[in-house]
Amino acid sequence: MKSPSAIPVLLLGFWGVVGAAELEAELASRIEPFFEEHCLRCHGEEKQKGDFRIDLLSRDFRSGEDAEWWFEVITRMGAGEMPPDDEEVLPTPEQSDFVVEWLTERIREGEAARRARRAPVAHYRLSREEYEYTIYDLLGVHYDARAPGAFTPDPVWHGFERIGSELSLSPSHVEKYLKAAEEIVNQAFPDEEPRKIETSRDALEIDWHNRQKRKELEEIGVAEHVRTLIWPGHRLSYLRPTGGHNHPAGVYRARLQVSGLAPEGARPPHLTLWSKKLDRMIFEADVLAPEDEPVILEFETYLPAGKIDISINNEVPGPSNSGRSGRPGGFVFTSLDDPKSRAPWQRKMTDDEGNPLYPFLIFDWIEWEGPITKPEDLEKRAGFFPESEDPSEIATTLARFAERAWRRPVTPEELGRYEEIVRSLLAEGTGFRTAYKSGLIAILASKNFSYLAEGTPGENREALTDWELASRLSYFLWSSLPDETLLEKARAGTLSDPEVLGEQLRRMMGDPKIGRFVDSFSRQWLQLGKVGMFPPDEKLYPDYDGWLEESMIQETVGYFGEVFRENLPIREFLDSDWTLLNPRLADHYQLPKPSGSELQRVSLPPEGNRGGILTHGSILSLTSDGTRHRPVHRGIWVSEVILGKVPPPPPPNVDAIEPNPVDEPKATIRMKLEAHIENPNCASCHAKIDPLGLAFDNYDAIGRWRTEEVVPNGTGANPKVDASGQLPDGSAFSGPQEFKALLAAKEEQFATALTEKLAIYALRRDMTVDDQGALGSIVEGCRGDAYPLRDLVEKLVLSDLFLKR
Amino acid sequence: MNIQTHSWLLSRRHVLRGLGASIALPMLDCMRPMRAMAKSAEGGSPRRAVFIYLPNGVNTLDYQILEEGEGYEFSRSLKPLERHRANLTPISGLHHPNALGNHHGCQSIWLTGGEIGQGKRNRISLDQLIAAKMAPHTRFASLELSNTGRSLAYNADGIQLPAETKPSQVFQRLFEVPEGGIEEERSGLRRRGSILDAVLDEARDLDRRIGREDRTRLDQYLTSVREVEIRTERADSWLDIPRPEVDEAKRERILKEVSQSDPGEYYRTVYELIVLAFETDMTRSVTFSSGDEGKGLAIPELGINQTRHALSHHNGDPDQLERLTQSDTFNFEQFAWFLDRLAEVQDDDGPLLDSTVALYGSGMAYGHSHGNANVPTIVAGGRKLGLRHGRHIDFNRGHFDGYTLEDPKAHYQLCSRPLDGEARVSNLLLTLARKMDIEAESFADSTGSISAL
Repeated sequence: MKSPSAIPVLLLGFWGVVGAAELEAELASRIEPFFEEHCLRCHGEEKQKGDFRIDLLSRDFRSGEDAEWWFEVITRMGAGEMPPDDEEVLPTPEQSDFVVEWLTERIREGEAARRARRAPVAHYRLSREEYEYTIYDLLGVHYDARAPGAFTPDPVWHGFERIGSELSLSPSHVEKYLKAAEEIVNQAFPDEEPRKIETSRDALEIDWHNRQKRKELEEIGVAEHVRTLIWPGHRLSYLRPTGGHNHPAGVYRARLQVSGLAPEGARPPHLTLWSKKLDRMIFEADVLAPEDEPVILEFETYLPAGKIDISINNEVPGPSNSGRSGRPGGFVFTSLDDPKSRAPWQRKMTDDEGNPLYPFLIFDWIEWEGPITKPEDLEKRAGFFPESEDPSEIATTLARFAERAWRRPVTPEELGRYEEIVRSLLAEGTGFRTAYKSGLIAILASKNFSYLAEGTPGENREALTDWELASRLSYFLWSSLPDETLLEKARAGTLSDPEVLGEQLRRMMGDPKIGRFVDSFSRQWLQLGKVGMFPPDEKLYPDYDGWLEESMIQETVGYFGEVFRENLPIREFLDSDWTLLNPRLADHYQLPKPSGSELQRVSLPPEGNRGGILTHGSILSLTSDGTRHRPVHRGIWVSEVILGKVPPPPPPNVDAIEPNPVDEPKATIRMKLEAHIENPNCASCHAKIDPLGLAFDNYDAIGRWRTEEVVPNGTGANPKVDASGQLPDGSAFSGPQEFKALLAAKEEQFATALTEKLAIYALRRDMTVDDQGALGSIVEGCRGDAYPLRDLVEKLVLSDLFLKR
Repeated sequence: MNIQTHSWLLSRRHVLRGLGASIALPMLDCMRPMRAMAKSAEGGSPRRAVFIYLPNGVNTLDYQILEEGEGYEFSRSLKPLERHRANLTPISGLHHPNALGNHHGCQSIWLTGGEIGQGKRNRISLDQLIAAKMAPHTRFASLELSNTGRSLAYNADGIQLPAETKPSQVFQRLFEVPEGGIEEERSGLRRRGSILDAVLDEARDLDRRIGREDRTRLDQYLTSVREVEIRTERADSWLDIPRPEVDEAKRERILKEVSQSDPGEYYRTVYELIVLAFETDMTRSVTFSSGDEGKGLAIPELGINQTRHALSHHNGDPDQLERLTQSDTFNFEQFAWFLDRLAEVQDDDGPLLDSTVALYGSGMAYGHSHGNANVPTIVAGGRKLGLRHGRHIDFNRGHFDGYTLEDPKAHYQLCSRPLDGEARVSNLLLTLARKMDIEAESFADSTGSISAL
């Protein structure tokens, strides 16, 4: 149990965190008297209006016995329906508010306790992403679990995808696991070597109009000079690796040569390779390369077996020439200054100095080769397929595979079932390879593969075994199974030794696979999955596009990576004088464009109105709804992510904020929000949430800086933005910059919230009051150095919390 | 039928008896295929149902029908449906109590009436209840279609089923013999049977040793594996029954990759596929989410480039409202086309429309402020199943002094807060369940059935 003094209550005082004894005292001194005075006359022993009694509801909130009823109580009170207005003595809004918040917090704690409850054996299903990584590390096979028709998305709980109690399972999952296992095993151990594909396509081939004229063009000696000019928004197909026939599944490598030209100061052309069939981007990049110095871009991608389409597009705003031209006969593009490159009636391509007028892509060729099998991928599969049909060898290789796939020792009885599959299929006359592979498929379809299990049936064990610890550690840092080194330590039973654990931890943090933690944790913690969930309205935000969305997410993930790698204090998340930008984002933020087209670290000018993740486009748009910014949603996000507090839910059926009438003066959302919250019951709670979001009113729904709020309807000028406010503790701020400074002063609270999120991610369960002590000491241990991010991760792994179930 | 292929199934059944691990098991047993040969004899006259979701509500000012009962006037956006007046019933005033104040969550409980929120588990959706009842008679228990992967269907554990998005892929699964032919499929199923054997056996072993508390998670797993076993069994029992022949022109039309940026073509292809699935009795229960709350289709062919979500947050802008009405009308027009097709295609004794219940609607009414009351609801078809049509059923009546479309704010209020707390979508779902011959006392939070239907 956390002692109240471990974390100063003052610092946490937003909604307050207090110990059990104090809760008892509060219940007796403030809550029960409130019920006595305002509720029990109608909902007590004597009268039971609506057949409802408060006095008999369970006060054991952790049991969750009457949680539904308590929820009803706060809902009615929150909406101001209870106590009814005709009561003689009404509580003040502050009194009601205290009771509502107190009960909300108890209900939440109860939920957390139940969500975190550990049975003798706890099962945690792998998330979709973990499944992919695990398969790759196990067999060197890339499996695209996100392809259409593959796995369904994992349920998300406050951004987290890997919470055991949330990851349920349906028959479709089992069916998909089976299908996936069949595909994976066949790809790892193909019956015949897949046909290698090596193809190339030149500029003429992707230009549908001129393709037919190759002969003609060759005769006049032009063919070899032809390049394909791609105007903004122009899409051309036929970039696929094969023509009419199927290609085998696997990883393919592509190289393509292009030039990318942009007018001075404008956005560079944006190359995208998109597959409609796979419904995903194959590759995308901004391209800046002079006309006579094209670049060669190279990438690898996994393609499932079959025929696919791939098209190239220059996804950048600008005029399209295709409607005006239809690429008329006789005019093929060779270079910008060749007068024969365009028909006289088409748009001009350059100004008088020969500079491009629009962002152009110029395509030369693309080459494909694959499937590529890398030696390190083959290495992973070694030893899992028997060299002979000898039963004992079959047993050995199956056992080796099962132990690796299940991440633990396997008993002969367990293995018997799988040997039996192979044996019975062989007996029925199935071919050897097919029969043996069925055994491998079954091992992957087993729950021992798709679930992480902690605990022993019939025991109430608290400490993790070394095997369980190895998996917890590797799924935390690598989102995948333990490697051989880690398994060795588990086998030797030394992994839980603090010195060995520390050494392994540092080794794992130095491995490139740590990038998976950076990527995955930052997305889940900051709820980046919500970016673009409601696509911004094209009319209101014509600038918004897929590349901007992707760039926003990359900025935030990259930023997290930078703080992690450099072990910077976590206050860098709240404010900073640097960030990561590519030209697209720089354009969006109206900041100087970095040289080159990659995402890179840049210093921020003080007058640029950016700094810290709270001013990232990703965060500002994920809290908006596609048409307008949502101060309340932003406030809730800040409260949850930065301060670690989940505000009480709104009562159902609140009046919505109505659109601005055409004949009334324009009003900001803030003005309407303030007029809207007349009910004092609502107001007292909103006073705690809203300022946290209103502080960012200078940023619109897609994160652009503004000083006026654009209101589509109404009379008069657009109103000025007011981003000032006051925190519940009385401290005032005039705008985002001062607000960030106030947040920075709460860095211990932020550190506690972040550590809790790290622990939720690592332990795959919610944290409860019982865990607060351990979390507190992790935070405490990092205070001296202002909470560097890596240190928090390290201290968590070495804490008691991490070693226990 | 090959005896050997079936042996593992028989032994499985033996092993599983007495396991009784899950609440969902009795239902699973219903899914068991009957002798496929005898299906039509035992199936009786087929009853079919299709559920189609329209995201983000409508422009309620142009949607609301004002008069109750017969002879009502079709509102502006519902006009395309007028030609089916005798075969449909618009219903006003319904709501899901659990959807109120839950924004876009309304989609996930549209067919379930379940609860939304943290730690809440959804309930079984009506189409799946119907699927369980009809499954013995058809090759597939149900079809889940959606423009994203998100379906309207939830299984007995309240877990969402995945949906298919591409009509061409669904067509291949339904009507085409897989590459490699039937014999390869048969041996594939046999191998799958052995694998399921081992996997189930192992889970059962753990089940015996484990304490009561952790059962739920394992139960879910056991039920799921068990259901896959039954699906495998179904597939096996249908192997020797040839798939129906499909007219080549129709086949080519559905197999063509159709883009969602051409929604007219996309919807008609999906609707044609549903008609075909009913006509050939491949399944009797279908859901189609024509648009996700976050991804309702734009209609470039009408010059509408915004998603339905963006349109629905119209901020009172008259142009935006006009486009929303156009989008609504367009969607109803597509639905009317679907009803045309159902009316054209003949079943054993009459048009498909008479043996098919089609529910079309949204979980939201007034999208701009997430109003989840008075939700747009149209019931069509199924006259042979006992549905009566031709009237506008209005549950708002008796609770107000009439519609006030000239005062939008008042009307929006009615689309946000139910006038009649007893007028629940679940009552309609219960009514439809009964028309499908499902004996049910109640459905989710229903308070009774709708006698006027």
